[in-house]
Amino acid sequence: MKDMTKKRIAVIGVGNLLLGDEGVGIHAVQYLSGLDLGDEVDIIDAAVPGPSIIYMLEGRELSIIIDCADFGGRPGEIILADSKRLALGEFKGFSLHGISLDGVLALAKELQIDVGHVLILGVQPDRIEVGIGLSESVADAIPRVVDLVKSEVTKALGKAV
Amino acid sequence: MGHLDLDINIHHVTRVEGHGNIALNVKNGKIEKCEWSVVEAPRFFEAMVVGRTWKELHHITSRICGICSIGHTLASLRATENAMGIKVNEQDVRLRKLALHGENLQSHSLHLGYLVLPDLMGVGSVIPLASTHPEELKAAIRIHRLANEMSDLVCGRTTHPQSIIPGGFAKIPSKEELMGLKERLIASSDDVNTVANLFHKLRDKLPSFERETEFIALTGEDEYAMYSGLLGSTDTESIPEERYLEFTNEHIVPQSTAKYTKHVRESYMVGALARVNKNYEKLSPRAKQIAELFGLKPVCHNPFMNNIAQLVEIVHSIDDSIRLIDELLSDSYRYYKPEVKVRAGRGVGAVEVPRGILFHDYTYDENGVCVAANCIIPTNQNHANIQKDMEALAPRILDKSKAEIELTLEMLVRAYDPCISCSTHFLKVDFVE
Repeated sequence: MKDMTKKRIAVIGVGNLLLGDEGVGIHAVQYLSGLDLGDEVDIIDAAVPGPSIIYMLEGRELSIIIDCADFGGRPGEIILADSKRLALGEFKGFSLHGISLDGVLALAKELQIDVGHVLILGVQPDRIEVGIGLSESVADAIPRVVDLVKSEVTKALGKAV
Repeated sequence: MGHLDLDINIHHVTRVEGHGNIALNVKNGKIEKCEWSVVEAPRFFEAMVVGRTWKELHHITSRICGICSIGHTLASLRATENAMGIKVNEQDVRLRKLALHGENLQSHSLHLGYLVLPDLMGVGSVIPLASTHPEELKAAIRIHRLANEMSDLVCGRTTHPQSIIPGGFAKIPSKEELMGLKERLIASSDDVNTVANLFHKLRDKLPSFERETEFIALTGEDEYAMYSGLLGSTDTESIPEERYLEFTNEHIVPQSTAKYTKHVRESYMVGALARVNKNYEKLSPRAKQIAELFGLKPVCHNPFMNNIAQLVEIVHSIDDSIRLIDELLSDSYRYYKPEVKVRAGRGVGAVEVPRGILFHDYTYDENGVCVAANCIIPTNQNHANIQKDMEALAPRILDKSKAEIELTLEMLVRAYDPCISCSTHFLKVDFVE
């Protein structure tokens, strides 16, 4: 069931801003926050939320998660995939800190928490190392990330943003 | 009869940066190697903050850890405020304490519900509990959800607080919002009891292992210290937070790129058990009842009881939050604009976060630019204690099956709720064929 108190769509950036390209999701939502995507879209800087991301997704019609992702592409290359297509990981580990997004989505599915339609917008990193800022190839990907987000939001709302 | 030969190597290789491994090798019935090894990225904290201004540091350092971001923010702010002599009024200190309780509740409910329960139930992950114990799991999730709402309300968002700034707050919750939060905290009693009852049924699954060690935690005269206090030890006299280096004594060991710490013994422990051991009398009456139910009395030297200490702290954090809200609402609650006069100086901020005592230490120049910094996280302080526990525990469990030995050693590490790889998490994409 959709939560009427929440906006229909969430665009969620995840990642660690202190580790170069790992923070691409945060850089992207910081850029998106300066744009007007209308009243029905939440732009969320989720950082490294762990299982808390479930509550950000819950009750939405559509969530777009922007994250640094290793899919064997070229640095800066983007994939847009339905989360249902991802092989979900296991929700286990020594600590809460080792649990990644795929594990959290697996848990939400098992608990029958309605997280709505989740799209993963992944950007292939170039450098993951200590430091604030993106490598050139990943920084160049931000406008394409923004265009993709706007295109998906437009599709979902049935009107241009 | 124990194993004559045994070769256990548990690799928990996280995505990129850090990992913790357990190695136990037995030959001809003799332990040849028993090692908890941690490989973390070289310490980067100083490089991250030196050259940045006092307005930026708490925002940057809150990003170190997604689970403990409120604690990092508060340790950072307290270091800055101590360095510049910035005073925070009593109301805003209460709000900050509320934020810390929110983080403690978030972290403990997740750890106990999602990582410890599967161990005690003998299942590989939390997933099977969704069908075998749905009510208990949902209760743990509701506590976690409430804790998230609490953090959102006080800090501006669930992780990486925006509202808390040097000298106080940029924005505070309304009276009505605080009253609503109080009602939800009171209503969480049933969920807490549900989770506590399940743990009570499973209490015999916690190994009865003990090894004497030192426990270090903040301590105070008036309350169960989380936000500030003296550095307390179960072995020695308390000292002020700015003398923390006398307690931590960081040193390098061969099996780890993370530094180890020690005080008067070879190792010490920080975290919920250390806090309960040091400050038991300051727990809320209801939290003490839970401790008594599980036979947790100070000084408890069983590291597996850290899980129960977390359960006790869940109750304490709820009760103390209700008390804090009552105090906030009984005074003339209003917004105070922080006043900051930038000056050169050095300051230390010690704050209790879910995994134990966290230190931030900054030196600023006269323009408020950071020129030196240090940070010691709780997990680094626990590494040596995990190693010593493992050395003491392994010989006592050699008569168990290999699978049981592996599980027991993993449970030991998990009991410390370590922060091994919080700094990176990125997605490895594999498509379903």
